[in-house]
Amino acid sequence: MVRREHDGPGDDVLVAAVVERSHEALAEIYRRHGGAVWSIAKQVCGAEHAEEVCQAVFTELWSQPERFDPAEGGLRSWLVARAHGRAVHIARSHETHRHQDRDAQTARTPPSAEVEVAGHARALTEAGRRAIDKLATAEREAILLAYLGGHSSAEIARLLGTLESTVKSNIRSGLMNLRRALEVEGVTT
Amino acid sequence: MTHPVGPVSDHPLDDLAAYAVDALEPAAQQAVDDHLAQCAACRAELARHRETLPTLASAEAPPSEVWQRITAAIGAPGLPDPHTGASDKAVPDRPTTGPPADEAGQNGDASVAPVSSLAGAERARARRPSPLRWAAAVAGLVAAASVGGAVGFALANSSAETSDIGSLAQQALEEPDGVLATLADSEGQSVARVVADDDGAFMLLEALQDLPEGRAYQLWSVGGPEPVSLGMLGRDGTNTVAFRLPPTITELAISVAPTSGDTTPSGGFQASGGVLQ
Repeated sequence: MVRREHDGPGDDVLVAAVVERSHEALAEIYRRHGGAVWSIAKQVCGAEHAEEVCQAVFTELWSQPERFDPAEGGLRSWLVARAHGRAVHIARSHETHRHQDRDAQTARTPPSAEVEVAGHARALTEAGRRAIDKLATAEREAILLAYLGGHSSAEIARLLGTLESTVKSNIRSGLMNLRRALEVEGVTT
Repeated sequence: MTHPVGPVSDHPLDDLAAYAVDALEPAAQQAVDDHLAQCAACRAELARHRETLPTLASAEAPPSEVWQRITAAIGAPGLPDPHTGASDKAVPDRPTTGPPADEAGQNGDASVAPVSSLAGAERARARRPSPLRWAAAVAGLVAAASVGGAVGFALANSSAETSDIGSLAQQALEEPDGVLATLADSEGQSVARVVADDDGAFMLLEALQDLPEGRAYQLWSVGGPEPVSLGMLGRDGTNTVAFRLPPTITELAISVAPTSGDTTPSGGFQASGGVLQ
């Protein structure tokens, strides 16, 4: 059952108006989903780069609205996925530079996986926190380190001292359990 | 490239989940991309993963700089921020840069008009199956745009109290490299110039005809795949108007439009010219 989060025209109608070059429709889409796009980008790659990510995501929607296919999910999840992909790309390229710096000098140790997971947990919604607390520890760590930490499955395997295949499997079972838990919370579609 | 769709065990379900959270290395990501291109079941599973994720992280309103960057990139400077209602003013706040919006509206001048106008939404409404829904939407958008008294205008008109904008524009004109663009009519005559300095950009309409009531000049960015409205310039053929000139704009053009503005230019351009980068 799809829960309507907004009064007024549906997102698909607004995207159709963006195809018609309506600035106001883009503004309404930004009003509805700009916060989600901004927040995930900021969480993954930091506020400074999040501005660039948000601009890229909404400018892309403006210039190529046909890339959004409502048959394959909602507008918010599509926008957030585009933002997440860009933010992860930025975070990883900076992480590479940080590693190079660390190799060149004797630098600080990164936080432990436990500390990082606890930090990411603070960025969750109340419902998100309750849902993620229902997951097994390995699932919770894999999802938070990947989705909010922007780490690859190979990096997570190193951080947690496990196999990459195990990490991927935990991400999958974690996402499925999360979906069920969020449905119980009544916050998912 | 096509692959037969195999039994469920052939679907890369673990990689697909990792793909949904952007946790794959490039080679593995490419393999999932290839599989998704020919597997509707996995596309549906990916969509389910992606629907779940945005509900996790709390959403906070983005800072106003984000909206300013977006509106500059799409050629709609001044469109009010939907999160704050604040309009990104074309010119630094000065008491005499122009009449307030309501005053300009009363004198019948088209100088302050919605950037892209709601005409586009109206046209879209005509093609959509649910006109009542659209009527409500348009009303809602008007209300949203009116927050803070700013109605999505890009350009600050100077028809009544020109002295300040006029003198700022003159100062900019006198600076070396101050002229960013010269717009010429179909006969090659210069009819308008764009000057810029630290205070902002100014459009100097110098040799256009005054337009009758109900018509106004409209400024467009025409360097991209299709013209994008930058706002209304009023109906005076000689006038100075302040505006924000996003750095991405390469070519400008002026059309004659109804006072509410066109969504696409009609009747050809009165003048056009490239912007010096």
